[in-house]
Amino acid sequence: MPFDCPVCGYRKLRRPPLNYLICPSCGTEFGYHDFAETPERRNERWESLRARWIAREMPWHSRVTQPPPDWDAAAQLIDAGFGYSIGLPVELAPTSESTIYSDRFWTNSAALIVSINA
Amino acid sequence: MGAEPDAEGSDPPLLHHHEIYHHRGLRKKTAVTFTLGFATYADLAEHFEDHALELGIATHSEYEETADYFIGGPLDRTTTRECHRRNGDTLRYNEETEEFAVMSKDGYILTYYIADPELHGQPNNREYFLRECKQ
Repeated sequence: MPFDCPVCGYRKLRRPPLNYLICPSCGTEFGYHDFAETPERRNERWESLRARWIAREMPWHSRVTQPPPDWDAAAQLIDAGFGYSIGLPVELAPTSESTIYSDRFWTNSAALIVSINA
Repeated sequence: MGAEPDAEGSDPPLLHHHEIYHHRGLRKKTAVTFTLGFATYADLAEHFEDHALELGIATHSEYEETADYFIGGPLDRTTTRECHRRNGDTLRYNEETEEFAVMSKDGYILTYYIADPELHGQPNNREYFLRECKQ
C-alpha cells in the first residue's frame, strides 16, 4: 500500500514517511530533513520544506524513480490539500477530480478569487 | 571488506554473509559484511544519488560498503560516537568527518551521509546526533 508525502503530496511512497525514506518527488529524507522533537515542530518543518520545494519551482527530485506519466506538481499539491501553499484559497479543498483540474481548476480558482474580491 | 581488530578492545562486530548490490543495477555479488546493507536496491540507489557526491564516492557498491563499515564495523572511539535508540536502531557520528549513519535493529542500513545543519536544522551536528539518539 503506498503512502503519502506530507511535504509535496506525492501519493506513492513505498513506505511510511519515516526512517530516512527519501521522497522521489520532492527529495525530502524523512528523519533528516524534517528532523524535529515534537509533532508540532515536525509539521512546521514540513511546511518549510514544502515552501522551499515550491520556491525551486517544484522539480521532480529522483533520477532513480521516474515520475508518473503526466505528472503535475501543482496538481499533486492541491490533490493532497496543500493548494494554500501555492496561493490558492483554503476553501478550495482537494477533490477526487483534482488530477484533471489543470486549466479548469485554475479558471475556477481565478473566478472564485475575483468573486471574493468583488 | 573484512573485520579488523578493534583498537579499543570491545567486542568484534558480527559479520554477515550477504548479497550486496553490485554497482550499475540489479546484479549482486556475495560479500562478507557487517550489516545487511540497504534493504532494497531502491533505497540504496536513492541514498547514493543524494549523498555519494558529498562523500566523494562514485559507485553504488562503494557507497554501500563504506556505509557498512562506518555503521557496522569496528568503532573508533577517538573520533566516532555511537548510541542506540529505544527501538534498537544504532547511530554513529564521526566528529571529524561529520559522517552520520543509522542501522536498524535488524541490521539494515537506513542512511549514511555527511550531516549538514542547514538540512537538519539543529545548531550543529553534535547536537543533532544527541537529539537523534533520543528519538
